[in-house]
Amino acid sequence: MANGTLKVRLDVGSVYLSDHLPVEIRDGRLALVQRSAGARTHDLPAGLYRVSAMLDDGRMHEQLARVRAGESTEVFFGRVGGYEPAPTAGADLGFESAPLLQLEHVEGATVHEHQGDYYVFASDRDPRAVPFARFALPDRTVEVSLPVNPLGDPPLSCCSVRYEEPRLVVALASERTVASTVFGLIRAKEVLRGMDIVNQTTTLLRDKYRDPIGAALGGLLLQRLGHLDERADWVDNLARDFPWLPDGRILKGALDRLDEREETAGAALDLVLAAAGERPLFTDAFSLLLQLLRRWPGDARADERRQALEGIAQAATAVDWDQVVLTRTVTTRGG
Amino acid sequence: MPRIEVSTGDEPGTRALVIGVSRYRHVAGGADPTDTGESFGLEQLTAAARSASAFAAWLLGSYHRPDRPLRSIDVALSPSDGEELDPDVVARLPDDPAAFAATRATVEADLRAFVRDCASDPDGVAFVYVAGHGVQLSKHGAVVLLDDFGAPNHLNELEGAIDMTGCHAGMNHPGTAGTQFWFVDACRQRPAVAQRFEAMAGALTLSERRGTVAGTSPLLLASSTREAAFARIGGTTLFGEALLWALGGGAAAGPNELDDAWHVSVMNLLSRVDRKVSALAEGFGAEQHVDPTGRVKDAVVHRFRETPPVELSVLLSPAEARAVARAQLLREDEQPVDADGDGWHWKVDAGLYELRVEAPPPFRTKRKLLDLEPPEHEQPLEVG
Repeated sequence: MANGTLKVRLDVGSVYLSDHLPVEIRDGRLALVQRSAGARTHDLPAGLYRVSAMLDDGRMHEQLARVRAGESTEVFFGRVGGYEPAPTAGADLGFESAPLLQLEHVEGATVHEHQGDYYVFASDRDPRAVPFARFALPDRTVEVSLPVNPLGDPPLSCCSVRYEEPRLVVALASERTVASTVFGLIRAKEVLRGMDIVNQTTTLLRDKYRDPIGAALGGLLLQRLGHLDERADWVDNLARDFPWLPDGRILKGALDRLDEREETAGAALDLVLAAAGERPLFTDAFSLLLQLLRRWPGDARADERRQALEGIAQAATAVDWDQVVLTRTVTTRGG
Repeated sequence: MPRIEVSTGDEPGTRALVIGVSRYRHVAGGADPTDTGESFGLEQLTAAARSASAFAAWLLGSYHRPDRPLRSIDVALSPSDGEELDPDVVARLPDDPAAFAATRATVEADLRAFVRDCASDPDGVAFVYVAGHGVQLSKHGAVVLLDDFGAPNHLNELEGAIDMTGCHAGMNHPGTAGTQFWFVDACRQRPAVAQRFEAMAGALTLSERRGTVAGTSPLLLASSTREAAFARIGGTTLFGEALLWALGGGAAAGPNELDDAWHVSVMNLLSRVDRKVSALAEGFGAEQHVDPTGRVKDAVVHRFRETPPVELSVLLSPAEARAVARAQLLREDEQPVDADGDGWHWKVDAGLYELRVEAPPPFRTKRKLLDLEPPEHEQPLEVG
């Protein structure tokens, strides 16, 4: 059968992602014929093809195409804008009724924009701890960690929070394209398809894009899926360079807990115990912290671990485990 | 120790541990309620044991890995009154239900045998499926309560429970089945209940060792936030339904570098089961998600003997066009496929097709490429 060409183009607002996001091409029997990354031109036998590409929302998107002999067929995937709309200055967001979301308190960040039930926060330049906000919702008051980035200027430092009954929806500014893609990957449960991109972007996020929030999230994802040991050097840096972010130290503790060297395992436990007094940014980090305190190998400092667990037990029961960023109910109202 | 022996041989094989607990004898509504059991405010479940038996039945009747044949299933099931278990599974179990009740003693014996046999077959495959009341102490932590939870002779409140995350971690090491699939289907308890288990003393678990499993060991944890959204009345749990749907074709993947036949891969299973569970829970006005954790690498979970079929229905609008329009479904080579019955339904192999609908004015003629994945596909088409 004569061949034609299939040109796959991606433009998701980041040159790096456009060149590296996973792409799969399957033939008419849905057998895999190509697995590649980013934009490529493929020489293929004439026939029907399904092109799947992961875009900047962390989800796989698909298009069908017919390749004809001697002809060129193009498939284009554009930016889908992240999981949530980008914070847009001065946009009319159409909030006409009374807002259901009331901001009571914020620390480590400031309100950059606010309209109705939609808030955009920007990071303080030098936070001492993970920034958070306390919101009154119709039936409860919740505290939510804010994934703002102190190393950037707005919009690169921003995250948005909006209320979509019954919960808060937190999103990174879409300009934080790479970090936002990692965020979307977790929500979309495409974690395994995105493993390579997470592996590649964690270093980039820490160094080039200077977004430790995305790097920590990527690290937590690698830990959750049993691949963190492949990035040991990088975890060291994350734990050391961002002292206000306990998530990195929790990851380091998880990585070193089974180390054969007593000194390393002991230092790991120090990190974990210290982190128990802090507010993590991500739900996965808090969950990992609880598991480390409960399941530390052997009996090392069992009393201290028990005390630390008791200290956060109440918070643990009020956490919304389905959220990506740590969100917990602090009070509920009757009705 | 209730075990279903399926085959023997020295070659690598597949082993399973399947536990389902609907009946809680020491909580309210049970045969022998205790103060401890009742103090947790738990209700009897109706579908956990049935769902576990349905999974065991799938292993017995449909599971296909010719290179890793099914060897055995260690089973512990505690159905509630009137809950029907899969007859194929029941037929292979002892006549006395007490012999396979999911008590601490039975589950411990099952676990011991399962761990031992998996250790003897490092190239083998292991499945673990557990359903029942759960206590979720962290995002990826799951303790499942057993039949005799709350028994007066237990030294710790969690003695009648199994720590699934601990067991999973305890099998994540070299020298045991190198490919493992863990499914935990837990009806999550209210925070006040969960808080009582903070120290987690006494639950059945395995000690953690250094190193990691050679291949893959994903743990899919489904925890419903509400008992009403845990299961269909008279049916199976939502997670159990979604899992069997996925294994039956909903998570099928065409030939790729893992397998030259249609198969269910870990990658597809992770995303498709979550989507299906969420959709099913939405029907109950609830939320339910499936979170993957563990040592996760892509691998073949199940292989199909042939390309799975897809049932295609074309939903033409406006409805009056249906009387005058004619549809053709073309394969990749543009050869037409015969339609069933009224000309708007087809049963075809999964794959890519072209649908052509010709309709006289005032309607329009349409062509559309279709991606037909199992088990069914409804294609709306507007020709008005």
